[in-house]
Amino acid sequence: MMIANTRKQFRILYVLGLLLSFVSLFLEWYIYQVYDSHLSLKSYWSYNPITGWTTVFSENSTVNNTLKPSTFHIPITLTIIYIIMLAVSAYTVIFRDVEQYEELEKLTINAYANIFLLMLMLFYIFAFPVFYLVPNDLYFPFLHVKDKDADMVYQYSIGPGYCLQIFGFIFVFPYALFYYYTVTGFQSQEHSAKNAVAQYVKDIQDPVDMDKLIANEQLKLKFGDDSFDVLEELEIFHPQPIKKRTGS
Amino acid sequence: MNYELIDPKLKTLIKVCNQTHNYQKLAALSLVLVGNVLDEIGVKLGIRPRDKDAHEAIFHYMTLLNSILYHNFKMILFQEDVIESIKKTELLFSKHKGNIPMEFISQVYKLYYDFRKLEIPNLFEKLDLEAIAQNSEMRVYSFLSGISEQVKRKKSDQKLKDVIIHGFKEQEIQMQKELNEAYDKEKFEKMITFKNAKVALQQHAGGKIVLRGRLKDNLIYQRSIPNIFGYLMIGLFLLFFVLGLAVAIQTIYHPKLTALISIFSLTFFGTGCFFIMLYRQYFKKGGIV
Repeated sequence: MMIANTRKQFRILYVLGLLLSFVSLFLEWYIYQVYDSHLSLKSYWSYNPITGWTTVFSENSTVNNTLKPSTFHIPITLTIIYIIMLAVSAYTVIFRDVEQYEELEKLTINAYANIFLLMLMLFYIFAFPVFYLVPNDLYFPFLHVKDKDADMVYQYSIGPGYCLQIFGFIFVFPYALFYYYTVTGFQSQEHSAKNAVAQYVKDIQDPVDMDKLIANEQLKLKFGDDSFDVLEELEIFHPQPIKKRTGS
Repeated sequence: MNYELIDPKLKTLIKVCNQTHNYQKLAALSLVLVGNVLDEIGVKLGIRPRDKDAHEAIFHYMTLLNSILYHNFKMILFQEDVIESIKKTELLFSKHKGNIPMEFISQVYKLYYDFRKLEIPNLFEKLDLEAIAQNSEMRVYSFLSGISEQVKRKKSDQKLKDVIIHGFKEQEIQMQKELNEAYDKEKFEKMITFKNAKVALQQHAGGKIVLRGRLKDNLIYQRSIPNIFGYLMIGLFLLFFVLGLAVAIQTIYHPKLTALISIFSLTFFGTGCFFIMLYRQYFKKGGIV
């Protein structure tokens, strides 16, 4: 009972992870703030993979616009693929439960889809700081910089969206891997046994080449020639006296 | 064997042989096909194939299959008249070197198709799963095992075992009756399960019922479950390693920050190492990964 509950809990955690990852796409992934010496907010910019940089200040705010970080875009195609994969994975875990499904071979694609999603998540977690933040002088994960010359305080930090992405990955990882190993592990066992038996049966059976037998008869019918006959190849055409049973 | 491919070809061959009046070929082929089907049945049941080198007759092999099945399950797979029919055909074939009356040939083909309809459970798959269970040193116990252990503690488990064995035996006899009336794959599988459970109960000193085969899915899951926590450890390690790597790469871009952000590197890599050590310590042994 406890084992079944554990499985169920990890499955619920997986769905929660997918949900968090989806929600994270609409939240702030990075926050850049600038304060003056009196700790009054002068500039505020937050980054989201779908909307890009957004601010709480009005568009006419000169100081805020001047302090805007460099613009960069995570390809929207990647985000769309990510959302699709989240949907596919949710469908897989909710409707194609590895514990209920009898034909596990049919779940192979789903198992690979889950692994692909994991890779996408890991890519986001790694690529966002390395390929987008750091080259644009945006520090990761948190940094508080005091510029005494300019009398300003700069605050760099990852946002709730990125944090949710991290939690999503943690929640999704165990069950995705369990799903994959269960599907592939069970499948290979079943296949190896089936193949081994099928191969053995094939080896021990008398070979029957039906095409050859038909062709020989047709040749005989057409030319009246039975020199092509393959009857002799079959062991049964050399009848031996039936032996008495000597026991099994 | 792919019967979908064989059937139309066999039909064509019968037509052509009818035209050439080569009934000898049809007779020989009928026996070859029957022999092949019986070999398949035998192998699936875990019985040796027909010994062709020793020219073991088909009807002898059928009798052997019957005797083994009767010995194990009190079940008769091939009725006496069927074996008799094959025997007559084989003896005639042997005596007249293939020249046998058409009625015998058609009877063998009829039997060939009857044999093909028998759905024999593949015991080799079950054996394979048994091997898995043994390798992983795992057993699936029914709730009865718990009761049985308690009873053992009270030194009276034998009585309970007897009751359970009796229950299995009754169900087995019922199955045998039904199977002897008409063969059914599912009933046969059930009977094998009963027999396995009964044997396990009789053999295992712990009084635990070892249920195998039909609970194959559970076996695999049982093996996988402890590893979910292991997977969680691997996931956490990967995550912290990647975060640590991102911070380390940052120091290449901004070397002046190295001292400042070294705390992050240390935390991320350190936590990553902690999780991988945890995994190696508690989850790696006996796991799938």
